[in-house]
Amino acid sequence: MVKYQTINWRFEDHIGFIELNSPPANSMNKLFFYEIHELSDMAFHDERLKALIISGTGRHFSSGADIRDLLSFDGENTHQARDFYIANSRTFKRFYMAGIPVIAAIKGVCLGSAMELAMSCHFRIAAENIIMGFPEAGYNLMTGCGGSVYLSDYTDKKTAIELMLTGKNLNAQDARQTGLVDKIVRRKEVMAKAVDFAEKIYKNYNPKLRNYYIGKYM
Amino acid sequence: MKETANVVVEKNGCIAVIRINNPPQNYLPSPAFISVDKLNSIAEDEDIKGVIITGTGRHFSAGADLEKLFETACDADILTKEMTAGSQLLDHIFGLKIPVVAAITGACLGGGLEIAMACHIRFASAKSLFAFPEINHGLMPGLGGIARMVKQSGDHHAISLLLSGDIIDAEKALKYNIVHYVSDDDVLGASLKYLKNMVSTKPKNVICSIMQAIHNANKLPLHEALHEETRMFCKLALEEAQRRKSEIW
Repeated sequence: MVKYQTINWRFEDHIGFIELNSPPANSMNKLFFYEIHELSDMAFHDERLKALIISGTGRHFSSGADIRDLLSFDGENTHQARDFYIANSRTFKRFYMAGIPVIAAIKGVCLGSAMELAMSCHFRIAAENIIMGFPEAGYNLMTGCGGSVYLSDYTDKKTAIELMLTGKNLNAQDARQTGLVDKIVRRKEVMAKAVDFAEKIYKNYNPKLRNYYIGKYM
Repeated sequence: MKETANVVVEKNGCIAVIRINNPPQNYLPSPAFISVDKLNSIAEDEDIKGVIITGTGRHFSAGADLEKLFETACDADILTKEMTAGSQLLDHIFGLKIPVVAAITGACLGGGLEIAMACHIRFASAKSLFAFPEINHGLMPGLGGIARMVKQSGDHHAISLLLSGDIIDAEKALKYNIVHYVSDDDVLGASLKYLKNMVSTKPKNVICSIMQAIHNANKLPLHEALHEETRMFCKLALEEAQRRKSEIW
């Protein structure tokens, strides 16, 4: 099996496990974006793959992209940087468009680009201790990997504006109430719940039946 | 649309307060209570980062002046023109590039409620009242209020309000997602505080880019919305990188 530096990749019984692996907070550096692009390319071409679960190693899902990387634009490499971000957005879009269920299993922090990744998944199962948010505006930035777009599937403009402009953090209850997570479970049960759910829905999966699956199997 | 004195615009720091100004009930002399051009010039103002729409005095707005409406209705062309202008204005408010808050007190009825529903965020006083009374006059909302109501409150609340014409209080309006926040007394003050807290420290181009991304997400095809988001992100990132560099030097 291919080895990645920033991701633990496992494939067991039809389910692919993408575990972000840059402890302590699994921040997303440039290498991560290259690796998840490559990995998704490989995974989605494998017909045996029937479901994907995305999680983070250790206590957190991910603290998102490194602010220093985001501001590495310097005028000379503008085109290169732009191509890089376009590619990142396309990678996340693959998860969103996937014909198999893609489930985020979230613990601890899930901020910025990590929340974009989580929102590009079809389902989110979260621990009670999560912190979700888009802190970009506080750095005079905004989402760049589809966060604003995927958010609109679940929330109205009011919530989107508050999340993106104030950069406020949501706890598990807030996130559940605004429709950004589908289920809150105990921290130790997040992965087991995600696997259980994936196994129940992967046969004849239809992305349009999201609410039906949540109602029946979560 | 002719400009009327029925709207007053005041600046409060980085916020523009637009008052529907036809007391006591703030009936709307025409559906387009402010022109799109005027609204644009407010939003374009570099100092202005947010808008509050409210009413003069005790009420937000009791909606259309029915007598005038039926008078106008005799000429189908004029009525169509006026309603279209009003409808376009509300679409424009909903798609404005800076956030718009409705600060609602007293009556918020019919066309007034349609204006409120076109605002992104809605504050109401505990004593405010809401209704679509159109059905009592053999009419229906005509400025996009039904679509917004269905989208934001769901079919069954929309149907019950629209078909009954019943008046509901702030508590119910909060439950139906017609308003987002209810405050006890100073609604305008609460709205100002909320909006300033949201925008005052942020550069205008960041606010506009984020708002545009949110609007795009609601109207553009997926790939275009994604592409535009990345494009705006890159523009902000480049500007911010350059700003930080120049600060270091």
